Amino acid sequence: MKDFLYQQLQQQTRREFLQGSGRLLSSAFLASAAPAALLAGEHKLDFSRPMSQPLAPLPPQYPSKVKRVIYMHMAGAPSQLELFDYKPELAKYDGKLCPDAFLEGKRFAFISGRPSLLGPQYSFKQHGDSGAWISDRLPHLHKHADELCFIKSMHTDQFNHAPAQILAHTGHALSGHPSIGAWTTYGLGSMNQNLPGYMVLVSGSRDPDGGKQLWGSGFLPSAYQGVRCRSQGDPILYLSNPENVSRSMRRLVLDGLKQMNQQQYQTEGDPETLTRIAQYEMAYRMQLEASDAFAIEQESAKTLAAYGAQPGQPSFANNCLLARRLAEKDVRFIQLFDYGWDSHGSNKNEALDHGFVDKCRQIDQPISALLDDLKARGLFEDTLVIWGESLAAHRCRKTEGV
Amino acid sequence: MTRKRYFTIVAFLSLLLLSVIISQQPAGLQWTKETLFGQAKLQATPDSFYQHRVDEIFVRYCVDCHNENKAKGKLRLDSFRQAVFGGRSGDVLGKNSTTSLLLARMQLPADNRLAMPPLGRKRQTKDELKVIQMWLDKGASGSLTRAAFATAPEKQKIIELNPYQPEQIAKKRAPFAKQVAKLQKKYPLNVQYLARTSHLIEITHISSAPAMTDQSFTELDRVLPVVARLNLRNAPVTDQSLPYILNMRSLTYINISGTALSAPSIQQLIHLPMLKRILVSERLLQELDLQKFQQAGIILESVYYENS
Repeated sequence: MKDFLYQQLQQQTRREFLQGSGRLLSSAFLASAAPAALLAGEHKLDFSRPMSQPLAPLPPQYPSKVKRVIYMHMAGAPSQLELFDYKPELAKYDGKLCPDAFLEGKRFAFISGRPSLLGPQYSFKQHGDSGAWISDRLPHLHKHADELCFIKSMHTDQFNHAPAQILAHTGHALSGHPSIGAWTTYGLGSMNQNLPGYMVLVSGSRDPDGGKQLWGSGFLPSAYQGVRCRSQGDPILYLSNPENVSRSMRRLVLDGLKQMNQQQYQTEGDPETLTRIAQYEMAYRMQLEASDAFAIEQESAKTLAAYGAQPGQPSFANNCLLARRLAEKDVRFIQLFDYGWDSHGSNKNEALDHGFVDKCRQIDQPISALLDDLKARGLFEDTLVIWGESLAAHRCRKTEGV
Repeated sequence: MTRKRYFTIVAFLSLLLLSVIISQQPAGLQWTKETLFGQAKLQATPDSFYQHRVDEIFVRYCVDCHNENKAKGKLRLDSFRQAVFGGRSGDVLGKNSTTSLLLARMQLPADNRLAMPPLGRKRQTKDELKVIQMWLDKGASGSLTRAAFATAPEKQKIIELNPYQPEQIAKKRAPFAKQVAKLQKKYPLNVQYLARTSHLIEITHISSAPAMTDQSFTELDRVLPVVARLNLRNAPVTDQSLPYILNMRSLTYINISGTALSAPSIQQLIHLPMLKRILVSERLLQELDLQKFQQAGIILESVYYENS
């Protein structure tokens, strides 16, 4: 960090300062936060790395069991009351009017007047030695009940999808902050220098509402942002060389580009230039490693069947399998987004008795297969698998005519 | 003549008054017993149940208002001695838990005017109340040891994270720092400290970095005592490296799935004193004496897929 500041200050003229006004905010942040940090007198952790290796691994502050994270985010927020949060008492009040005490001073999206209550829609049973309640919508997950930790105390003050997702991923409902994966790769780096430390896989009908900032790097250097992989064609755009371009020719072009970028850095002194050089170098190494990581057709028929994955047909199952392949390659943070969980019944695909059932079926088998597979490969004990959402369901039916 | 007699009477009466006052106060009475009659000092023994379990509960919930400087209700709970003396209402410990004012006040519902700690403060857990109750039932002793309270609830486990103090860690790392730095230069990705707060290291074989081979182990020679985790998944390592591994006295975790280490070699890992976990290829499980691993307190996990 010191290095970074020094180089920036040394090279900067007033004109360049104004030119780079996009960075003005981050400069202001450094100006206000840095002296305060120095004055505080506490030991600050050093996150500096060689400019050419932004992803060099750093040890965590305390010894940790977890070496990598697979984070599955269900965009649109599945109803916990149909999956893990069993409410037998609510079933008794199914269809009755919601008591006023529950509604006073509260605001619910799409609800007006006095709504009636809705009981659990699917049957629940206890599973495993822990006796965790899981509904019949996730039958494959039942056998993993004792390996799961359910956190039911999460709270949000956001009631719209996009801000809630941004809050869940960056800790702030407003945009501009680094995402959880960006912080992780910034703080810990990544073991594999030939692949991005933070990879993002998206499935479902469209991107999550929060957009790219869910895996953005905010005010951190752009080297730490998530690399979104496409589900069709090249997983990463322009990963393969164009026709008639050999690997050595690509090397030649990159060397030329590097020279020019170095010159640019000499005159401007913008560290983002060095980040860019590092990115190009990684992309070159990635051509080999990533094409291999994304070739799920190499998997045995048995494995493909276990996940329910079909090469060439993008799905959450494929992404789960890819997540395992990336985990095997020591990628630090792997994020999966699945869109289409907003089950408040505006249409058939968003209904608890249709779309929701399909979505459950799409994720149940792959997640279970992923857990089994991680175990069979000795990766389960140092991989943290998170399944989460950004909003929780409430139990009010909409009043007629809304 | 009268003056002398008068003096004697006044002296006698004031002495009487003083002794009455002293005997009225348990602290004074105890002091007299100890200094004038040579009784043993009233205090809890260091290995007593009180010191181990009860004192910390008082410290957590009571001592803020019942200490030397601030003794509400004239009650102090900052030591066994003071607890025995009681407060304005007299003895608080009682003969057993049912007659104890202390426990009665602690058990009142939180919103009761007399509840202790008062409304708004953190309250004792059920286990903590149980500990106090058991202690009172056995006569609120300052000498009975933990052995007398075999059925007491387990002590709460508190995980404390020490603040990051680079100087202290640097001191701990010093004996091997040079060797580790040298290795890190050669294997920047494979050799890492477990944490910023640790002097132990972790060695990992990574598919995308230079391989950890038998040859690499000869270079590890000088850092063997500080290796705590060794992940050799799919590394081209053979029985030749075994002597090095057996010298890693701090080793707690080893992953040797997909390596060429033989079953007899792996069996020898039970001699590593700190080892807690081994990940091994499933095909080798039959050749290993699983019972011996269990006896050594080592968890053995099998890995089905190798070399994918």
